[in-house]
Amino acid sequence: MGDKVDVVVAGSGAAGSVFAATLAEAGRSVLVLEGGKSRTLDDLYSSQIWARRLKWGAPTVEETGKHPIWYNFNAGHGYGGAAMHHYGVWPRYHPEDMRSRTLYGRALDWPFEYDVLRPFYDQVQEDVGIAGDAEAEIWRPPGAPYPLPPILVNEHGMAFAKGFEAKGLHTSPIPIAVLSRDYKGRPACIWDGWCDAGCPTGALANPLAVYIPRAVAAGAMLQAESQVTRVMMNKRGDRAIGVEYYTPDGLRHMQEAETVVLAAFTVENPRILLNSADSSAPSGLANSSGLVGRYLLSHAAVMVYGMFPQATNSFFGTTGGQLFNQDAFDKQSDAGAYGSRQWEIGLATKPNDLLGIAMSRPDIYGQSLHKFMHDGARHIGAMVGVCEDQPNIDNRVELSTTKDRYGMPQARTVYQYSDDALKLWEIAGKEGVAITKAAGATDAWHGPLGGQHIMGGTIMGSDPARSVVNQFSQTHDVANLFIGGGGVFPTSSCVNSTFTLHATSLMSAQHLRDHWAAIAA
Amino acid sequence: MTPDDINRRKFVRNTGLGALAFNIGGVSTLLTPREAYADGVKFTSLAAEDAALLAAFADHLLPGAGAAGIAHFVDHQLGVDPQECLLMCKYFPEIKAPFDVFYNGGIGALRDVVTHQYKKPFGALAAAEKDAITNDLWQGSIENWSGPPPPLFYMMVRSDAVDVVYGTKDGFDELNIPYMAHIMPKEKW
Ligand SMILES: Cc1cc2nc3c(=O)[nH]c(=O)nc-3n(C[C@H](O)[C@H](O)[C@H](O)COP(=O)(O)OP(=O)(O)OC[C@H]3O[C@@H](n4cnc5c(N)ncnc54)[C@H](O)[C@@H]3O)c2cc1C
Repeated sequence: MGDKVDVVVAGSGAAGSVFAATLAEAGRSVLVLEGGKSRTLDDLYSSQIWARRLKWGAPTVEETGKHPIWYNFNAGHGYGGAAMHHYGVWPRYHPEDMRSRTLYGRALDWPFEYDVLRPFYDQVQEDVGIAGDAEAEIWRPPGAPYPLPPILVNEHGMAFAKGFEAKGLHTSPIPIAVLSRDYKGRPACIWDGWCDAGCPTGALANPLAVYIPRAVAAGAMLQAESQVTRVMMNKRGDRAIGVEYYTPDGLRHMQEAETVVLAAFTVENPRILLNSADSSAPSGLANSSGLVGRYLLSHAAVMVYGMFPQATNSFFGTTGGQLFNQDAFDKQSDAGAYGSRQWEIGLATKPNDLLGIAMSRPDIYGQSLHKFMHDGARHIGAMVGVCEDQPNIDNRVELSTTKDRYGMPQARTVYQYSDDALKLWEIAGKEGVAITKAAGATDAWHGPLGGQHIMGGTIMGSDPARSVVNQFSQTHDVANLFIGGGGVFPTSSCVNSTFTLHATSLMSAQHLRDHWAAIAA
Repeated sequence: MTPDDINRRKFVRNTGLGALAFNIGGVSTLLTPREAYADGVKFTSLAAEDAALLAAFADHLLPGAGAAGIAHFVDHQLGVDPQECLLMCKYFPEIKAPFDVFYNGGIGALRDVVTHQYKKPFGALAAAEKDAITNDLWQGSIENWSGPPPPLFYMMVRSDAVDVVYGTKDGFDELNIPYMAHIMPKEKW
């Protein structure tokens, strides 16, 4: 058993690193237990093949239901988690995303309004350095202007911009956590388009570039290959006293702590809670509402491609895109489908991998594939439409009967997109192809239904009977147990989740810091 | 300034090309899949005839994939811990580790179909016959198929072929686009 610490954090990704930095800088002893391997920025080889090492490699999550959530693609493993190889597109949620039930009688309300989260967005943005143009981003909710000017827009972004303009749609520079200039000791991006393989220069705000170094400088300890399996409780069952974890040698360990933060990503957090069932919490820890694992959420995404007569040089740039559009953000802007949509435009595209040139047309093979690859290398253009899904109590994470090598039941997900999300996806696909044609592409097409960003499963709310955590991501049932990550979101909006989960994690970590005596005592 | 104008050499910390650690006579030797193929390195995960069929099928999906060492690439990756595996199949919810079950299942089913339908090996089929099988696989309409979902098998082999032909620095050179590495893969794949 290791020495007792003030805070033990499960997971070293986006959320875990924010908790670790905030609490270590407040003088707390922090231990981060990471299930995957130790990695440094020097491990991030520029290769779509090597990039696959960073993806989920732990026991398989069983995906059931009508639609997969693409867990293995969306999850990461090892220091930095999925955030280590994420693309840094960081828009904010809009005020109406948090008041859906009040405003429209649909979905769920968050336990606070946008204004409560706004200062945390502003703080995170200042910490990591977001590039963008707040004025041109006409849909943007109130907030401090971006600390950095927009990123590069090359012939790829410009080609699509023409199509949006022709359709009467607006584009703005994309809000992105990629440095357009040197910032706080980190170098500006050189637009090599290797974001998916993990950015080793530190220009993209992955955890190893920003919050982990801060946490470590303040004395936090990181321990790799330590898979958290249970939260340990006191005899009364009302306080967490630490966590159980396993190391690859098969040994079981116990780490005592004053407070526990689960930041092991959306599916793994409920898995740990459900596996922590004991006599005082027979249906799983922090589960008096019965909602642990429920309201799992994802975005329905559509990739749209065009082959342009002019060079797009799309091997260059940032994988998350160059330009942005939220003209269809209004929840009721698309007839017959409730929810918002957005476009991320001009995605840097390499030859191989799931989002590469070859996979954009999986039907082509033989010599035609060679020709397609040569044409696409300099002429393909790509953008992605992201559509909101609606919270559904039946979409869930549960425990499987299959166990992993440590005897922990694997997670099983059950997922089905709402009719609204599927309709938005269909509208987006058609709109994207029309825009791409209007942009002058000689050929335009879209890909199949894809899942992006996984949220929900441990949702926040003011009513303990209808939510798992409160507005500070603190479980209703166990005061010294916190959840970090997009798992606490009751609605998905259509925006990428990582900026918002940084903001909620920062709010939560500061709450714990400022109320330490009351919570940890 | 165009991307190609940028002198990126200063960002490249290691200029070695991607290579796999092959075991030759008990000695671990770094070779690219292409070199391993040219040297006739023994397969360790796949049976030799399965590797040959995989290479022949991949060569039909992307001519040149066989000589680029697809069979050695896949063979090598099937032998590593699934967590470290570099095959695209690891993203797919339908494909579970250990991944040799998927590949062996697909290769075996392909052999059975070809043998049953044409009474000769895949490599000896006419181009039109290979096309017929390939199209049926992609469309999921192939008959007497006993392996994993046929379109999935087609897509994974095609992806592996694209990896070895176009996913490397040589592949980018062939496409006449700059590789622009921050850090080149320096060992294994
Ligand atoms: C290809 C890709 C591109 C993306 N692009 C964007 C983007 O542009 N914008 C955006 O907003 N989002 C993007 N995302 C999503 C983003 O990566 C996630 O929202 C974010 O990383 C989630 O943060 P997290 O801390 O919850 O999980 P993670 O960052 O994944 O961290 C969780 C960590 O917990 C560890 N862990 C899991 N189980 C255990 C356990 N039992 N014990 C100990 N440790 C454990 C994992 O190994 C991992 O390191 C992208 C994701 C992918 C895959």
